[in-house]
Amino acid sequence: MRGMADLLSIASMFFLLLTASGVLFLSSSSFGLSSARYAELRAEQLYRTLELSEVVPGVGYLRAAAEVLLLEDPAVPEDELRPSLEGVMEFGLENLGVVLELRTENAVWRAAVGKGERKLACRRGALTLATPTGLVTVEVEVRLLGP
Amino acid sequence: MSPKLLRVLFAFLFLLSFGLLLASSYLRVEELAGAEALADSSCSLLIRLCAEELSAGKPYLVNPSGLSSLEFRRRVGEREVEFRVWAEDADGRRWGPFGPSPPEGRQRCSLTAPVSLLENRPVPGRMGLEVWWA
Repeated sequence: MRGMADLLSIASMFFLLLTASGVLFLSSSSFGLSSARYAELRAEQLYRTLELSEVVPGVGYLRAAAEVLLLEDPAVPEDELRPSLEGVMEFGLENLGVVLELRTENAVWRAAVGKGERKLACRRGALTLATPTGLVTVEVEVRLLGP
Repeated sequence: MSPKLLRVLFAFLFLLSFGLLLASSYLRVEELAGAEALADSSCSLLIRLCAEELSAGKPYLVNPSGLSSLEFRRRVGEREVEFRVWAEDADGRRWGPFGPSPPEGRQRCSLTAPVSLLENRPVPGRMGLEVWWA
């Protein structure tokens, strides 16, 4: 009986130690490689790319989209802008979902590519456009979505 | 085999298994912490390249002809890294890769991000970076 009790106590100590090391191992895996900073970086880079790259000489992608939202006669018509813009968003961030949203008080314009349900990162900004009724501020949001 | 010897044997096996588990957990933590630090350094390096060193007049407007003249070994934070870099535009024009080849079996971090490349005018593209500890 005494031998069995010793074995049981050793086994229970081992079980406790095994549980502790298992928790340590799993927690070390779960802090994981934080992809948050990488996602933020890519959202920032995409925003800057759309802001600086020109869809036609002298007109950046964000400005062209704001004109589509606000003006009756934009520099780049929507049916030309949308496929080009979606191509840029897909090319820059393969395998991720990307949503570009421009918003004023009264209107919203959105372009989206890829799939994803979970919001990975978001970059917000604004640009100001001169319209026949005066200066209008357009809020811009770039969202990255992942599985 | 005597019961006493059996108990000692069991206890020894249990302690040995626990020691091995503990050691492998420690190595795993070390590996992940190193990878996390490398990923952070790679992000910092990419920002520095796009916003400053390759900037064509404006931050984040990248001059692709500057890629070949970069210094491919440098200090980021407290450690030195080496890297290679490439860029391409949406029409398939490609620059690089520039920089040394990564050593075999070394921990590496690969990043790609959208960039605006200055050709005749600013055009959309992407830049890739592969970074490892020097």
